[in-house]
Amino acid sequence: MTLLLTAKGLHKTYKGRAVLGDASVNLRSGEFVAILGASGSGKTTLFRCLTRLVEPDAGTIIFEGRELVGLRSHALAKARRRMGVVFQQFNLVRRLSAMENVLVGRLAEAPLWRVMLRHFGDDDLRRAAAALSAVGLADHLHQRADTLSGGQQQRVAIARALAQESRVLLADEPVASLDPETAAAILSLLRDLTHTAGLGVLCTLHQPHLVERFADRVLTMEGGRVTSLSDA
Amino acid sequence: MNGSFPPTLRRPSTFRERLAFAVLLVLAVIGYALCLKVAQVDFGRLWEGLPRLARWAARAWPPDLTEVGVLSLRAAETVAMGTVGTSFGALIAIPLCLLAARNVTPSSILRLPARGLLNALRGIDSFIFALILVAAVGLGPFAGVLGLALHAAGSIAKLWSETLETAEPGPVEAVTMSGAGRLKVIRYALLPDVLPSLSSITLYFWEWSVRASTVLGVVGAGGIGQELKNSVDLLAFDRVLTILVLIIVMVTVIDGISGWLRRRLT
Repeated sequence: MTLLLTAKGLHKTYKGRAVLGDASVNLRSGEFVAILGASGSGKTTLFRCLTRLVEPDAGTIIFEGRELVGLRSHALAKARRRMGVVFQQFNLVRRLSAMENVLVGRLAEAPLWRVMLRHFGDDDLRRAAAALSAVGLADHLHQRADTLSGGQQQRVAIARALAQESRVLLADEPVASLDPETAAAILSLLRDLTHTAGLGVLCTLHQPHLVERFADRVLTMEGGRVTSLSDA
Repeated sequence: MNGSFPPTLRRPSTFRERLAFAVLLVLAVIGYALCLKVAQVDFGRLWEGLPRLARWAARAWPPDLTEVGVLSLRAAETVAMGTVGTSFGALIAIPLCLLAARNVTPSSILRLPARGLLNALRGIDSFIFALILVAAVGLGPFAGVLGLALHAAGSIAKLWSETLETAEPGPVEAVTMSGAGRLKVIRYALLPDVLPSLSSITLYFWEWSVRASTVLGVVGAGGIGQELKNSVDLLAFDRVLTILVLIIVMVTVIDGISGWLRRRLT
């Protein structure tokens, strides 16, 4: 398994309070790594530092052999194309359809004029439809995002990451607001993707029983540090 | 239940708080009294003027309908002024609002001058702009259009930028994480979220511009307002009544169309 993502010694302080202290993590292709930790343990900050939505105060992030910390906007955007993210609150554009939300994954590749006119090429449309089909939403292509159920919206968010053809998928508490049955279905889908698409999935979770059931490897976080490492 | 809480559940107000409230109340009353004095409010004069108003009202009936065709054309000119003025203002507002919104333009070097410019534009009324522009481009509706456009640009840009700033950050982050550039993020994540609000603001300003353009005729900027001023100057109150009815019909129709469109957008 290829090493995709390695973060070492990440630190982040907000208003004098250390929320991330010397956090380190690595992720290989085809593995599902779960991060378990209580609220406020630093899981979301770790994810936001890994994607550089938040700048870490110190540490290194190597993604596909390239250092992310210090990358300027254009180079960072290029690296992010191969890094899919699934957010706890889905973060869909609520007035757009499921299909248009999945096409977000094709934005970086599409010419500017196509994006301005929201007129995507046939190839992009096919990829987006295939991604929606992979998450079981082939019948909801043109349904507006805000009319979908929570579980369906999360599936659209995963399809968005799939359409991006990313190598890693960072999922920040993707099942926190879902019922147990839908949560299990979403995690099952993520685990299947590690096998079928060779994705590396890093996923924060609250529920130990789900971690035990789905994860290949478990990290636990406490007080901003990754405190233990084990096979599930 | 006796309907009242025990006194310990209510936060007791201190003597200092009660004194501060009393002082503020006295200052507010004094300030308001000064405003009445400075504004020379005198209901006695209104009372004395009422018979004159009544005579004019009596002379206004029946309304003079001989020029309804011409006056309707002048009303259409007013609607055109408002419509073109708003559209020009909205075009100017596009770059201004993008530069003035904190979440789109984090750099204060660009944002603060943009905010300064839009505050200056909205601080000067369209009437003042038209007054100056009539001297520059001559009498007629074009001066009114420019006056409306400049004031509307500042006001629309201010409201648009505030709307952009209240947009949900989540979709913007999600689209940013796809590796898309800033323009694509604005087009795909920000715009669909705020477009109904931006359109609603524009329609509101269209209504406002049509109402405002009825007044612009007073400074020579054409439209129905100019006919109104001429008729008042000539004490032709039967013609004034016709014009007022036309203005009410015009504004009601515009408000109705705009309101209908805004309801459909939400």
